[in-house]
Amino acid sequence: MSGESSHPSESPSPDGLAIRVRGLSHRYPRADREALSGVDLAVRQGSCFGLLGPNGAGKSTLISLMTGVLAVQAGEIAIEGHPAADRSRLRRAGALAPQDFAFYPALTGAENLRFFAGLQRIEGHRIKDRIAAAAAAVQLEDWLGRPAETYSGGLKRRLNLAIALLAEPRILYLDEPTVGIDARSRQCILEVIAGLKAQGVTIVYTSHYMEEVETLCDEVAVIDRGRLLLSGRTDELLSEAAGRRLTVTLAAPAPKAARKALAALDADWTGEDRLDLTLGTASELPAALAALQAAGLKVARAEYGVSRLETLYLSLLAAEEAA
Amino acid sequence: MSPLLACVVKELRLLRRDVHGLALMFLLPLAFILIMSLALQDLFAARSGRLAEVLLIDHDATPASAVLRSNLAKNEAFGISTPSPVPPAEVVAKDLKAARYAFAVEVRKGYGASLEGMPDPGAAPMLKVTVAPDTDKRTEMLLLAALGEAAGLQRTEQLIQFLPAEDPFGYPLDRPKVEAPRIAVAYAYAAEPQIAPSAVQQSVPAWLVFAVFFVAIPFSNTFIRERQLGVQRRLRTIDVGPWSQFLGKLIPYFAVNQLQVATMLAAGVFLVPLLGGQALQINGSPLALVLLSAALSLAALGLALLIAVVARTTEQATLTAGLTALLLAAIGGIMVPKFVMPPGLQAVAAFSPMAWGLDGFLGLLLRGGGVGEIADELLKLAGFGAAGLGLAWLVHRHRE
Repeated sequence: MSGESSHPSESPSPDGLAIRVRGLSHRYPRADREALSGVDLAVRQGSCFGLLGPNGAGKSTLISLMTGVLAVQAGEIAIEGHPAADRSRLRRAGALAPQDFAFYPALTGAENLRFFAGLQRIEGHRIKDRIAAAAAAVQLEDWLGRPAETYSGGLKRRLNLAIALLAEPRILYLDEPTVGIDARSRQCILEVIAGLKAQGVTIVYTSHYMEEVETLCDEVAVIDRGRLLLSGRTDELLSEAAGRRLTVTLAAPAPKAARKALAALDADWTGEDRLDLTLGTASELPAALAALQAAGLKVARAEYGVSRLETLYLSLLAAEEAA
Repeated sequence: MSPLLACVVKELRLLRRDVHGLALMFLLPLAFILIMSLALQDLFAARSGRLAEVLLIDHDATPASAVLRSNLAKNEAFGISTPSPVPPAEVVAKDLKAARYAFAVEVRKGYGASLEGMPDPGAAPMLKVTVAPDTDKRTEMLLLAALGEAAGLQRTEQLIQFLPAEDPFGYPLDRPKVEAPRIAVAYAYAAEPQIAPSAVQQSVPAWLVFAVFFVAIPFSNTFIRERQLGVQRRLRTIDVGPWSQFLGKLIPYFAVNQLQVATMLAAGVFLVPLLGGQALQINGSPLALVLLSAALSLAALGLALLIAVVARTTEQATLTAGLTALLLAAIGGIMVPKFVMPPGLQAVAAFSPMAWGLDGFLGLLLRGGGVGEIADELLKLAGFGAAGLGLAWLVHRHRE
């Protein structure tokens, strides 16, 4: 982003929260069940909040409610400590970069940006600067004069994001901003998001790419079938989920004899060269590694107290499915 | 920049790049105007020119039969051909069957002599009319009347010859001249009563009205495309009222409608004559023309917006807008002039906003009227437009 950005919060929230959602429910006309059912969420100011869930879980409905696309039927949304009684407050505080390429393919990148800048009542003398800043942020300057329909998927995603950045929102909603694009564009978008986060912009991020969420998001929430399954700080949730498990990757597949020798450790083999060991305490770690060495196995990598978000997410959904 | 101005500028840019939409809005009606103006020339010419061709077979070949031919030829409704020598009966019958002539009028030998002396009710008729198979009864009655008039004039002329040439005191008397009564004809539906309306006076306003309503297709499609692209959702996250969005589209399309009216009228004035048709005469009050054009556009855009908010896909919008335009055109006297329609269908036409628009234009272009003369049409069009916009607003609110 350009140095002139004024992204950091203009009205600090008394409770330090950018968004507070309480008991939010929503049912579409003629639907047989609620799309959202009593959801509570808290998004800290300046944080990156990952919203996870399978397709149809209610993520889009939640974002539509938080961005003022849909009217609140039941529950409450507070923005920066103030209840959003009407949708204008929600609309003024945030900007959405939707999953669709929500711009006009027949217009050039510059014309699209000028149109959306005009809609957001950016003063005439600032429009040029804001367009330049938003385009620069996503490295789109060289493409502004070309019709958007000639852009690659990655450039379209960048334009989609640039439009959301025009009004310097305090809260930015990103709905799967990196889906279906090349590695370079993806890297560019992730860098922009990291930059915005550093400037204090609150980001609500939905994605099916777990490693992105794990890297970018300080907090995550998982919803499924309209209900909140889990919410909290990413590092704490992962640490909690990891527990006392030692995950070992061997340099070569383990022979049968070695497996037999490790039977006493109650190893859970997840592959010919991968196993999980559940330890009583962290002090048992040296002994476990020594046992592996004694069995003639060479350890290539060992992780203790670490879990992947994807593992946590899938186990949550599996538990929900079983329930 | 205000949101409304941003919307208008964006829409104008999109319109400029939509070659297919522009072709639909301008070239299609222009083609209709040219084709229909030239195609309907004969129909309108029949209202002021020859009604039928007549083969006159003069077996008498006397000065009296020549006078009859001359009297009949004065009637512009009939074209008189007198072949010499007289064709055989089978050739005449063949010509009538082939529709080369609507009638064969036979002047029998002795016609001239029969006019001299007192009429003999028991004598054989000296004139015989043979009617072609496809000649309608009304035309037949008209020919018989014309023939009766021509022969009657001749007979009167003959009788006058029997009047004395001097009065009882020996002074010469002027014998009265026999001629058909002079009748002045005025066209109540034309700006200049002496000039009958032409095909172009009907076709230009008709297809102009159709063109204005046809914008419903590109107009509604822009709405649906915005919805499909996700732009509508994005716009709803920006604090912009629906009226900015609606007016942002209505204003550019209103301008397109006005440009259509100007283009179609210009085509009637300048282009149609180049292709052999008559030039359109633009009569009536310019203010009334501007108001009518605006009211027509309001009606068309009201309908277009309603279709745009109701339809869910571009296919639905295109089909609904296209069929509605065609239906309103069919019953509104656009495709077939209203005066050709049977009375029942003419009554149905009163419910088509296209008919109101067309009546308004005909009121101005043919009758040279002003705002007062087309006030009914202006009110009906504006009311229809306001109702369409109001309904569209309600549907939009309901969907929200």
